[in-house]
Amino acid sequence: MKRIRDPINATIFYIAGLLLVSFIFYFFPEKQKSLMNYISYFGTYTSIFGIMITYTQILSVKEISEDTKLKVENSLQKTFKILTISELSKSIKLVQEIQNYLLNNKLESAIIRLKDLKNTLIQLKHNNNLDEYTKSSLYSTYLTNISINTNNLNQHIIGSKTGVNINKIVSNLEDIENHLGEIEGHLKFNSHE
Amino acid sequence: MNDIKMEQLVAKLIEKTENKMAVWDTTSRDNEFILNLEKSSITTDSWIMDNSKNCVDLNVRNDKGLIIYSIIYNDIDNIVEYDYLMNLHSLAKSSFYNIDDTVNDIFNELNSDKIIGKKSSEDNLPW
Repeated sequence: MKRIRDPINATIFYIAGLLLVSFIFYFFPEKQKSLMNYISYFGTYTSIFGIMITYTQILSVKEISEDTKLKVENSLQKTFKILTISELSKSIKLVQEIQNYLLNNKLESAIIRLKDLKNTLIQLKHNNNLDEYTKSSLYSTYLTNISINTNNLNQHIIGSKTGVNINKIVSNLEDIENHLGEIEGHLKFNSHE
Repeated sequence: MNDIKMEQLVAKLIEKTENKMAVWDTTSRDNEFILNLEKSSITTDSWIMDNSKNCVDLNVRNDKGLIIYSIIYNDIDNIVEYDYLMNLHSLAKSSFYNIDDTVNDIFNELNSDKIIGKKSSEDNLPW
């Protein structure tokens, strides 16, 4: 079918068919060999050929449409992947920034950034492509740790509870950074596309 | 969650912890202990408020770490509830630090006829 879509091939097919019609017409009884009959057979053949061309064109349009749809989907997936990688890189930098704030005893800034990190991790949890990494109980533990650590830092600042173990928070963040790095690596290098 | 359910939850946690069937961990506060479950977590903390009241709390968190239920008692206003919840906190602490087994091991060693204690390392220097 694909051959007939090429104009040169279509012309060759048409001429070959025309010759075949003429050849068949040559063996017709003498009574039927009139110009009107020839024109009639020629017209019928041309109509059938036209229907075939139209049918192949419809198939061609359908194929192009499906191909375009596939390419748009691939393109969207790639864009989505790039955005996710960018988000992950941002989160890793955020983790390092929080660790820096904590080690420099800038607890208020650390709290603000911890909240940002938590929001990003929650958003990543809704990314279906990352289910393998974000639907685990370990990932929920990371979210819980961030909440608890934010809470403990808050209470430490206002003085309702004292004694926050900064090293433990830094260590929790280290685990989150490793996990995010793993997801980023998976997206960058384990793609089947 | 109503109070009856909460009481049942605490009772179940005490039972599990006593039977060494619950793995408690610490949080960023050394006196706060967490039990991570599949889709939720439970924390218990104890502290002194305003240098006067001893407090203990229990928080239930969802899979996003948000507190969905919380109770807090102190030893002045809610003495009975405080003692009950403090029992869970002590068990969680004991479970995390493995206090009972460690103390039992110490007594076993002390009650034996063996010489106890050892040098930290042998002197391997040639002179």
